[in-house]
Formats: sequence, structure tokens, C-alpha cells
Amino acid sequence: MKGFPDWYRRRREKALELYEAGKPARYGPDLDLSSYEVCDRGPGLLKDLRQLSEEELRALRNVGLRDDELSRSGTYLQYDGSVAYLRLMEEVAPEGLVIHDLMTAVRKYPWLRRYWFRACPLSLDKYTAFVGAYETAGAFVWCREGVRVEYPVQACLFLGSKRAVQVPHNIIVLEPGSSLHVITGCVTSRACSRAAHVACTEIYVGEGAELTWTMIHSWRPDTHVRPRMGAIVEEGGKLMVNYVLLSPVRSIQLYPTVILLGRGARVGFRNLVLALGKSVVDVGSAVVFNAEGTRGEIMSRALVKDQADIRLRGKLWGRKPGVKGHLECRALVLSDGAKAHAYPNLRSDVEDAELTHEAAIGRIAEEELFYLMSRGLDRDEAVALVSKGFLDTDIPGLPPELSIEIKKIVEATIEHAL
Amino acid sequence: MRDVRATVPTLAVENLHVVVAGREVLKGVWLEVRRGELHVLMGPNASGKTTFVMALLGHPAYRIVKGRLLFEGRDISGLSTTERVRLGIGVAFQNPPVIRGVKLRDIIRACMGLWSRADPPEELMIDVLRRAGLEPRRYLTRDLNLGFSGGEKKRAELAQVMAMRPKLMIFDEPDSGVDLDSLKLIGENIRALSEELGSATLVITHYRHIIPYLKPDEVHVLYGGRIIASGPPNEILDALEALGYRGFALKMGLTGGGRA
Repeated sequence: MKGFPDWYRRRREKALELYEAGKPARYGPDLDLSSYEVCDRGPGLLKDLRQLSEEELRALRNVGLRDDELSRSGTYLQYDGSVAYLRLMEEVAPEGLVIHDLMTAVRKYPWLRRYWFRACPLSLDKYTAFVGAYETAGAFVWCREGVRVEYPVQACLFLGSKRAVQVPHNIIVLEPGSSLHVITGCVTSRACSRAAHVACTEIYVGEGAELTWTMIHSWRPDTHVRPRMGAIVEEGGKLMVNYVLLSPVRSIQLYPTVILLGRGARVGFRNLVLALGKSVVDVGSAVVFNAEGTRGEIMSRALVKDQADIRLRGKLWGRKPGVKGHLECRALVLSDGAKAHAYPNLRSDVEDAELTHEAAIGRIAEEELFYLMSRGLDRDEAVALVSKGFLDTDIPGLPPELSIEIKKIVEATIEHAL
Repeated sequence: MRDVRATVPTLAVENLHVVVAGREVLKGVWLEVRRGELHVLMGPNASGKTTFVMALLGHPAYRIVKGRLLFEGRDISGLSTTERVRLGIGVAFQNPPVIRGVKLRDIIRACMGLWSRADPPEELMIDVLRRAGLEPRRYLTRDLNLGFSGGEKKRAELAQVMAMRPKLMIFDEPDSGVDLDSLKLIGENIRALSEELGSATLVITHYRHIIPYLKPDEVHVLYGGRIIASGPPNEILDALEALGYRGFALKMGLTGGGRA
């Protein structure tokens, strides 16, 4: 802990205490984190992303990394427990965009103390506390007041160890009037086995600032994944959270929570989940409407196949008048052994909150398949076309190029998986 | 005069018996349609018109228990729906489903994939929609039939059959639930398409209003699961007009069926 400020050391100690208290997460199978070794190192800093093997690059590209770094403002790559690559593209990134490894940022910016586990409290559960106690690296992205960043920042995490747990902590701070797109991809190497990923991401969107945060996950069928995420959006700010799960996984549980703290703040969630193989998937999204005139929308779509078991959750909590929220969960079950559950949850503490939900779980209607076959598609092609349409990969709010990249990744995965 | 020299009919239906949910709906249908010919199959509700279309396409709920279905001389009753369609059968459905998330563009592309190996050029897709009376920019990106009016659904079906360029075209009640403008547009387009592609064409309808636009070579009357009369349009239509389906059937029954 050399070079770290006192407050940081104290928080780590506090986190360790909380972790040892062992509060399980409310949802998802409980993990014994003590059976994993914490990944605290990696291969070291690379001069060039091309120093990664072709296989590693292919995996990373599949979760949105552009190794040519074109049309990106900056790149953060974490390999196991440490930063492997960090670069701000000076030619395209405006002044006022700052990217660091979080461990560097903590030592450099005393004000980070005010943000430390605020959007995502350490006391939430043992996974959050675990991150607070054992974090080794993470992306820190800071957009100064009024800075509008055109090209996305890419932050990718690569997990290559066996029987180890990767513990990143990310903090994104957007000062008033700034705007930014971040694409984060998490992926495992072929060598990785029985590993876990326990992470915490905190997002702070200042007054009138706008952030789109896009996460793409591709794990191994034996990986356990517990990302924690919290966000606070100030007056007039706007946050769009997109989550895409592409691969089978042993278990994954996440329930990002966004607090709309200032008047007129807005949030949109879009979850596209492919639950394949024997995956146990528990994906939720929550919005707390803590100021008048705030708006929130959650849209979750899941394709469930093989013996996968998925729980889609969503919560809208109206605490101030004049708020409006909508929640939509839809799952399409493609195999007999697969299971899907939807848990929409609305709560209002005031008279004047308009909160609505729709939830639907179904199969592809035979009538639709017959119709598509009458247009010359075979059965598998028809299932893939309906599935793609169901997942609705047009993600709003993204720069068109990024939107197309993501659409291609998802569609290629669906075709491959079905 | 159209070419009637082709010896093998595009579609030959021989004594077709079809069972749906345990009930025999078609009880021995005979029909032949040749290349370049346009036939109309008329019949009241529940006479078996849609059953005929579904059985022809191989819908699993419509079981052929007797008879043969020949496409260009080949028995297709053992083939899957996809295989039949790939041979060159294009159907415009009476009640096409809404498929959320699947764009009209995706379907037109699939239809064109029946004859084009490469991805079809955008202009071709635009062209079929425009001919079917659907403004291409607006409709290509619409979810299939979601929020479409009756007329828009029929036009979308027409556009798909155009895009398929089939050897045998079947339109199941292209005139039901549409306004007069759509009726004219659809009727004239079917006629034009049939001439342009030289396809064998069968239009199924309940009413006579579309028939003047179609100028059919022959009209058949389906009643109680059988074709009870076939002949030139005027004779059949006049008799139907005078007697109605039931009266017409009674008369045919009295005369032992056959040609009007």
C-alpha cells in the first residue's frame, strides 16, 4: 500500500471487515470466494495491442475491442490482475478526457475519495466488499466539464488464469455538460478455467452530462461472474446502459442500480441476453426515481436455450412526484429443458408516479416458422431470423458505427449458437 | 392466346383428400394449372380453400390421406415446406402473421434468395415494394405486418410473391378486407405478374369483384371439399350470380357435377 493515501488504506480495511462478515448477495447462487486466488498481476504493460496473440485478439474483438484503435478515443486493457495497455488517442481525444488505471488515479486525485463506493455501497454484499478489499486495477475515466468526446473509449478485461478471481474496480466520472461513450468487453481466454470475475463499476453523471455505457460479456462455461454496478445521475443528466451476454457461463448475477438524483435526469437500460448451455443467469436492472420529472426505461430480452435457467428482474421505485418509468422483460424459450422467469417490481412512495411494466415469456409460434419457411428459409434459418428480430439489436443512443459493430457481434453469435 | 402447348402441367392435383384435426376437409380435388395460365378457385367459407393452400405447402397440420400433388410432374407430397417453396411455389396468404422484430426487408431478402445467390441489390427490393403500392422507405424497415391495415398486409404479400418469382403463384383471398383501390391494384398486379413471369397462377377468392381485373382463363368452384364445376369465367360467374353457391351446388348435384 505504498504511496496510497490514508483514506484509501482505511477504506480497504473497512471493506475487508465487511467482506469477512460474509453478507451474501440477494440473488444468484452464493460463491465461496476464499477458494479462489486473487489475480493480482498480469503479463505487464504491452507497447502495442498486437503483442497479444491472434487468439487473444480474436476473443477481444468479439467483445468490441478494436485493436487498430481506429475510431476510439482511448483504450484501457486489463489482463488478469493488472493493466496491460493504456492509451489516450491524442489525435481524436479532446483535452479534458482522462484515462488511468484506477490504482494510479487514487494516488493522483484526492477528490476520488468522495466517489469511493458511493454509487455502489461497500455494504451492499460480500462481492462489493470483496472488490473494496482486494481490487488490483480498474479503469478510471474522467470527462471534465463540458468536454464532449465523440469517439468511444474502450475498456476491456481479459481473464486468462485458472482457479483465480479477477477483481477490477471501475470509476467513470462525467462532469457537468460532458458526454462520452464507453464500450467495455469482458472475455476469458481458452486457457482460463474455473475462474471468477468479481467487479465493481461506479458511474457518476453530472448535470446535463450524457453517458452511454455498453458492456459485452463472453465467458467460459465454468466461469462465475458477479459484477456490481451503481450509477448516480444529476439534474438533466442522461445515462444509457447496454448489456450484452453472448456466451454460456457457469453463473452470472448482476443488478445494476441507477439513482436519478437530479430533476429531469434520465436512464435507459437495454439488456440482451443469450442464455445458453447450462448457464445460470440472473440479470436485473433497477431505477430509483429520486427527483421530480425523472424518466427511466428498462428493456430486457433473453433467448433461452439448452438447459439454461434465466431470471430477468427489473425494479422501478418512484420516490418523487411527476416521474415516469417503464419496464419490459421478454424471454423467448428455444428448448424444452430451458427455464425462464421474469420478476418485474414496481414501487411508488408518491401519488403522482407513472410506472408500468410488461413481461412475457414464450416460444416461437409455429405459425411464424411456417410462414418464414414458405419464404424459402429452412427451419433453423427461420428460428435464427425470429431470434435476431426478438433480441432487437438496434441499440439506440450509440454512434452509428459502434451500433453496427455490436449488431454484427450479436447476430454472428446468434447464428453460431442456434 | 397463351401457351397451352406445355405438356406437363405446373400443378396437377389428383383426387386430393386432406384431413385437418381428424376431419376430412378436402374430399377428392382434381385440378390442373399450366404455365402461363391464370385460374380462379371460388368457394364459400369453409369450402376448403385455405386447406387446399396449406396442404399444397405441406403444413404439418394438414394431412394428405389420399391422392397426389404433382409439381411439374413430380409428386411433392413427401417434401418439406421449404423444399416445395424452393422448387418454385409462391403463396400469398390470406392471414399472414405479425412477426415482431423481423423486418419486411428481411423477408423480401429471403424471397429473393430463392433465385439470387448474392445479396439482392437494394433497388430490386425497392422496386417490388413500389410496384405493390407500398412506399419502400417507410415499409422496408417495418416489422412484418405489425400495425398493417388489411390492404397493407395484402400488398406486402403481393410484394413477397413478386420477389420470389415463382413458377406457381397462389393468392389466397387477396381481395378480402381491402378497399376498392387496393382491390384494383392487387388484381391488376397479379395479372401483370402472371404474364411477365409466365407462371401458372391460381387465385382463390370468395367474391367475384376482383375477377374482372384478373381476366382468368378458367374458374373453378370448390364446394364441400370438391370442385363441383370448372369452366370459362362468364358461364360460371353468371350461374353463381343467379343461384348463389348453395343453389349452384344443388343444381350441379342434380346434374351429377362436371363442367358447367
